[in-house]
Formats: sequence, structure tokens, C-alpha cells
Amino acid sequence: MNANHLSNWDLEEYALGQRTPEVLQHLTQCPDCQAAATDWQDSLAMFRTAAVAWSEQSLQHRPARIPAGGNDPSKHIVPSPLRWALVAAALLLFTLLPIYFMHHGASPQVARTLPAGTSSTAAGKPAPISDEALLNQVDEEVSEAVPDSMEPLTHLVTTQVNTSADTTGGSHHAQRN
Amino acid sequence: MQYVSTTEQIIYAGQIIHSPESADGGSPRRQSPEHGQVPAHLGFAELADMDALFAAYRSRIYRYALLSLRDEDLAESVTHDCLLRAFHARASFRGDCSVATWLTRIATNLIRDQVRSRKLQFWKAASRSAIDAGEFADHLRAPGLTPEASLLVREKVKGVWESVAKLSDKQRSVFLLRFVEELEMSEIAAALNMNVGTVKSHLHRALSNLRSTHMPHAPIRKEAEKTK
Repeated sequence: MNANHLSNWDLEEYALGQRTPEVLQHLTQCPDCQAAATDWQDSLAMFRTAAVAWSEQSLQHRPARIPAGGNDPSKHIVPSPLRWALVAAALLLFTLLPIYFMHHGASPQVARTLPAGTSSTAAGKPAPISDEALLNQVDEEVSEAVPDSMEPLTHLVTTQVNTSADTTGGSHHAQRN
Repeated sequence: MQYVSTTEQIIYAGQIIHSPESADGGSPRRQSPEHGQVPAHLGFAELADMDALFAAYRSRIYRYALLSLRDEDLAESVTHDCLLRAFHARASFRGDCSVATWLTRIATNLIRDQVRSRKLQFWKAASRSAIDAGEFADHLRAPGLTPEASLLVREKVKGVWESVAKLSDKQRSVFLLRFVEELEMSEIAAALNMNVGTVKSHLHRALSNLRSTHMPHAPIRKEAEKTK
């Protein structure tokens, strides 16, 4: 302790509850040191108050999950961000899988194994269109070289080609003759 | 060492230390020659019943874990682990310290494991349950203060909160056990497996760090330090 005022060490000791008679006597006589010591003590006390209040408030929203009979602590499940992420991913997967199969046929493997041209089942129910039939239909439409809107022009071109072929054929024939 | 407990009887180290029959003199009361009857304040009987253990210590362990980890989910996880481990390992409890001290020791180890794990480092930034200084100070209940005084106190609490976050793990543990849990130096030493002198040294360093960051230096004290 300094002759005039308490040192920082003395104030820390005071905050820790290690209060010697000399320090206590000095505090009664020195308002500055008393204010500093009180400042320390108040700050720490307020910190404790806030900490306890926060903890209690937080605990109120978390009911105790006491395992019946005492389970193994390593096996208990505590929600964590990683677990929540895994659960969300699993839910997403189970939601998207049916949508995927709806768009790609309910049983694509079965449909592919059906022979081409099979259109009805033994029970007489209308059979679903097989993949092969669908593919054939697509092939037919794709294989059309010219779209419908340009068909008149095609006709014109093919006529022209035919007529030119006829004329060239005729000339060749004349030359041969 | 053997420890068997029921609601009627507690046997510790092969000796009956609590029995309703022995209390009324119906049968001879046996006591451990080494330990004798475990005093009630140690909370030994609460170890026999999980509900009682949770009721008695959950709040305290949760608070310690919460302030150490600053994450409500992790604090709850640590609290749960701590109490369950204590319950399952109650046979190894020798009774040389209080149950609270023993639980604090278990909780400290679990907190240290959490802090060391990379998982915490990763989730620390993203965790929604992490609390900042402002939210912490909002929990302060200081009725009867003027708005100015309340604001001042709030700023001080925020300062302490931020300073505690910057302490080393050991300093933080010692600080929280002393100033929040209000344990004695010897209890902290037992809980953290340290000497009392080491505890005191950590406390002084923690307070020194607090002072250097947020606790204001009065000019007179600076002068006193220089002349020291």
C-alpha cells in the first residue's frame, strides 16, 4: 500500500475479499480510494447479477430432459446445428425423391423391360405407354427434316429438283442418242 | 470402493451411512472408519437420485457452462453430460470434496473439451444462440436507477463481459467461479485441480486484465503505482 493511496494490487485484493485492517482503515479515510474500491465491487456485482439473470432466463426456455433410469451420457441426443442440418437434408431428400419419380415415370425399369408394341396387360387395364414407344414418337417428330410451316417451300424445292432432274436426264438421253 | 443407493439406504465404501432403520435404533449403524458419515451439506444423498441431482445442480452447472462457452445449446449439452456422467460415476466419488465441487470439476473438463474441439470453432461464428455483450447487458436488473446511471452500469457490465471473453481459459474459469459462483479459493483450487496460490495468481491476472481494458484508472491510483 502506498502512503497516499491504495495500489492496484490492494484494490484487487479488496475485490477478492482479502481485506487487511490497514486497507480497511485507509478506505475509511480516503474517499478516492473508497470510490475506486466501490467501483470495482459494483462492476463485479452487476456482472454477476446480469449473468445469473441471463442464465435463469435461458434455463426457463429449456425444460430439463432427465433420462428415465439414467441412460448412457454418450448416447443422449442434444440438438446441435449440425444435427439440424442433417435432419433438414434428409427431409429435403424425402420430399424431392417422389417428385423426381413422378417426372420420370413411376417404374422406369419395368417399362423398359416390356416388349415393343405391348399395349395392354393381362387384366385388361390400359397399359402405361412404355418408354420405347415414347422414344419412337419423339424420334419421328425429330426426324422430320422440315417443320410444318416450311413444308410448302419444301414441296416447291422438290418439284424444282424433279423438273431439273428431268431436263438434265432428257439432255443426257439426247446426247446419248 | 462400493456405493449402492436406494431410496431407503445409502451404502458408501461398504458401510451403511444412512438408513431409516438405523436412525431409530432398529439396527446397529455402521460408519466408514475413513470417511465417517458424509455431512449433509456435501449433497451426497442427491447423487443417489437423478431427479434430485438435476434439480439441485442443473442451474448452477448450466450457468457456469453458459458463461464459459457463451452458447446456450452447448451449455445445455455440457450440463446434461456433466450430470449424467456424475450420476453414472457416483461410485468413484470419494467424498473428499463437496458434490458441487466435484461437478464443477467434471463440467470444467467438458467445457475444455468443447473449447478445444474444432466443431466449436466452426459453429461459434454461425451459431444463432451465441450472445453478444449488448444482449448480455440487457439482462441486467437494476431497478431504481436513473436512466443515466442505468446506462453507465450497463456500459460497465458490457465492459466486464468483453474483458472476460479475452481472458485465457484458466483465468476465465477462475474468474467465473470466484465472482459468479462465489466459491472460496480452496474450492476453486479443488475444482480446477490447482494450488490455492495458482488460483490467486490467475485471479490477480484476470483482474489486472479487466482493469487494463475496462476498469477506469483513477489518476491518483496511477500516481500511486508510479511511486510504488
